[in-house]
Amino acid sequence: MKVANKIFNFSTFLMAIVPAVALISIFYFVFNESLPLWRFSGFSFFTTYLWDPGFQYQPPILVHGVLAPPGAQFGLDLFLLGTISTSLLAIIIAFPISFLITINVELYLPSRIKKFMISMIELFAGIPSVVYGLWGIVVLEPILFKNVEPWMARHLSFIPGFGGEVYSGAGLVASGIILSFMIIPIITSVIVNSFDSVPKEVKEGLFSLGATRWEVGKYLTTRFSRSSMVGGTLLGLGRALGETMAVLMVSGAIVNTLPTSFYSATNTMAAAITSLLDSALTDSTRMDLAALAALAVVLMGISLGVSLVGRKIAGRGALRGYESD
Amino acid sequence: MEEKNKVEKIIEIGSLRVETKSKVILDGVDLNIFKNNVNTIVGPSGSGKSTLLKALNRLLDLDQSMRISGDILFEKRNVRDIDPVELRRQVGLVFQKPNPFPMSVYDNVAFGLRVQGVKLKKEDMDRLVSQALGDADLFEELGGNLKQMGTSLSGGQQQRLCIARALVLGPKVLMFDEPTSALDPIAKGKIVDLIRALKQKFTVVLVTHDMGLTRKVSDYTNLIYEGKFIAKGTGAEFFESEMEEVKEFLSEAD
Repeated sequence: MKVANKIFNFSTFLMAIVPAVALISIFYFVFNESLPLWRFSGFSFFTTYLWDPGFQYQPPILVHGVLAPPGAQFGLDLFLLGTISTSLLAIIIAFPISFLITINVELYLPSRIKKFMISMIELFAGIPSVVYGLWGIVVLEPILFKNVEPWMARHLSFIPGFGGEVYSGAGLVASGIILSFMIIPIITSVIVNSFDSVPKEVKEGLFSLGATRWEVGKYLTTRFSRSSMVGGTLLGLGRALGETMAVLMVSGAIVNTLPTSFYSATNTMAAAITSLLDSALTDSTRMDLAALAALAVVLMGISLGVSLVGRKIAGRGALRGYESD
Repeated sequence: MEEKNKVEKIIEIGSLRVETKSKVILDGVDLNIFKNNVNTIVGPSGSGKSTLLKALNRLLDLDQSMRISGDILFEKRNVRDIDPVELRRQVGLVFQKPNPFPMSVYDNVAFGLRVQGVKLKKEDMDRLVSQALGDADLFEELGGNLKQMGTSLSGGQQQRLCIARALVLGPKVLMFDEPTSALDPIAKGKIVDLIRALKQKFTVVLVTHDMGLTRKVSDYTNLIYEGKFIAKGTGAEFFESEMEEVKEFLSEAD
């Protein structure tokens, strides 16, 4: 009996530390793999945008003490720019929609329909990203290419970056829209939870003093849910930064060409790792692989950081100063 | 009974029925609320007392699962024909659990006026807020410190803050839903005194299952049992009623 207890205790302990060990070891191995790149490129990895694996079938040359194919150079700016711009566009689209969904679900809909709506939103989060990507290619891109983007280019050209040619529907706009679909469920569920955590007496108190639904929504938002809204948005941002497949499918996946307008094709760090991995594995010096690992390190750092901050802010709770009674 | 006819009815409830899909909460309630009196509604928990109060200021309308029929007349007008914001201003509600908003005492009291779009000069707003806090017997106790958070007050003070918040809107009727059940005896005593004082200016509707409180303050007492209106009587009359249900309820409540 006692032995069984010990075994059980030990195995639960073992299982409990698995996530922490896994996180640290993944980070360690990826970072380890990227080491040659830091010696090879140094700080220029952050200040340039060209990504060239070099001539892999010529004898490798020694640069800063590490072997690399001749002509190789690696800069992440194009991918970093793409990651940030697609994610920001996604947030700009997703936040107002999530906010209005919350207000509507919480204050206007009958509770039965509310439950249905919330489960629909949760289902939305379960759609595989490749399905979003396919939908993006088949449905969204043609609409953007034929109808939306030419119209925008004609009528919004007075805004810098909004004029110019439209070559295809793939790019920043399609990526931002697809990403926004994927993060709306995340942001919405965080804000809905914070609304739900406001005591019923407070909501009824607001109504009984003559506040309208809109005023109650405004009040709950500004007094109770501010931190949840920021936190939920950051959690959504964390998801958008790391999303790979759907963006890979609709971004245009360009390399070595900086975007010239709002309608240009783009690429992100996550999508680039996937699409460039195949050729990187053929590089006998492993420098190409080290460069992709370095991209992964930067991506992991940014999205973990954003998610951590988001979780912390969202977890601060809606009711500070209210538990006192 | 003669004397009762001279007292003005401010709210008349006729065949009020409230139900959800699965159960009937109020099943044909008829009762009157008399002006400048303490009208008490007693009954065991779950008998529909709080639902009745929420029907009076149309807070029940917010819950679409509730089906409401019957008539409620406020000053001879059907409440369905009165704008809910206006109605809730005239028929204030104080809840069982004190529910101050997480903002300063001053802002708590001013909230109702601000949200209703009443534009006032700073001095006028200050005067109304102080007066409401004074009427709720809280102003002196706070020593003029109206900047402290409403949520940092003691339970009894929070409840009086919620009363002040309703008073500042100049209501005609003030409804209390079990206002003392969450309070200690001293805080409770203050609310009892306050209710007595308030009926000079306002009509009070009090929901409670505390018979001690009812004996102390009630002018008209109504018993509701399982959603049905059972009996009524003036203060002393009710307690001497020969009706079986009243006797049974009183013996259980005491």
